[in-house]
Amino acid sequence: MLAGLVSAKVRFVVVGGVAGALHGAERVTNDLDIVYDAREPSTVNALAELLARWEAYPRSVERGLPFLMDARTLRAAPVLTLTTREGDLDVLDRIDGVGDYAAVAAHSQLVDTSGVRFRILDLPTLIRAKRATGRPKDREALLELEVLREESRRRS
Amino acid sequence: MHPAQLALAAGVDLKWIQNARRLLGRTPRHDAREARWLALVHELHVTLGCSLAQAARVADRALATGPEQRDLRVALGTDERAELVVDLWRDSTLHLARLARALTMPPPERRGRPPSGGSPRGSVRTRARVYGIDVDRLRAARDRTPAERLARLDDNLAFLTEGRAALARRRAGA
Repeated sequence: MLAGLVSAKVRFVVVGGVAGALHGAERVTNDLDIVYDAREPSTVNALAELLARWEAYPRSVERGLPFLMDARTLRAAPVLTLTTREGDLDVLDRIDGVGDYAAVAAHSQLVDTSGVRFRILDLPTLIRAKRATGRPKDREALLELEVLREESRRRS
Repeated sequence: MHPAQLALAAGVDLKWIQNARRLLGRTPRHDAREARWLALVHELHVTLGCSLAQAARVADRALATGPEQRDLRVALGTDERAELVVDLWRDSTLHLARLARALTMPPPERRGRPPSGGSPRGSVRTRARVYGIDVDRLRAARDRTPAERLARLDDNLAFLTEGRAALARRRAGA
């Protein structure tokens, strides 16, 4: 999925569980969360086309009603929780505690995995975002990330 | 669905829902269909200026149509000089997007007194251990490369997907 987003030239930053795992968290996560550049028309169009190609449909809802996966839908829905051919994907235009893509990108770092280069939210900002959501289910993830930050401070 | 979840699924303030229901004499329900109905009534009433009763009638008609119908055309007034067109596919698209968010990222259900703001005790490590997090395992895994971490995630996901499929097959066979 990450390779697909990169090759479609979508400007995005990975946030959430996958970003946590890339920082060293051990929690299993089912979905990829991204914040995309909603102000950049080329990104909005490329992302909409890619999601349509991946047959994206809202997650956890019964299929049957029409769902138009296009740029208009992206612009109208600040949060899309989707299931796709490639896996589950949450598409966000901003995150609590940090802000929109520009703010998220300013607190991100580049990751290179097997030739695929993309940005992930840095550890301190990921912790800030998890705190801001205040969801009980994030408590364990938050503690894990705080341990990782402490470890990285000790090492440096 | 609890009330805050319904409000998120409808994209409408909870107070507005309560007021609209009272004015229309509608029985409270908390399901996906009600969320779509409320969202459409709100759009027609607040954004387009239809009366609440007229908005409710249009929303009733919109929800009674099948998924193959793209538009709903409703005459405004008696002489049919003006008509309202509801894009039903766009409406169902926005409804599904909001509903999925409300179901997968539900807002907290407010009940009772909010938790006290006291700061947690002990170091991060102690609190993590108390919570059941294997701190030593985290430390042991710190030298993995990003590619190795991503591969582990993929392996875990493949395992979960396989397990779920096996469970589904067992249920189907039972």
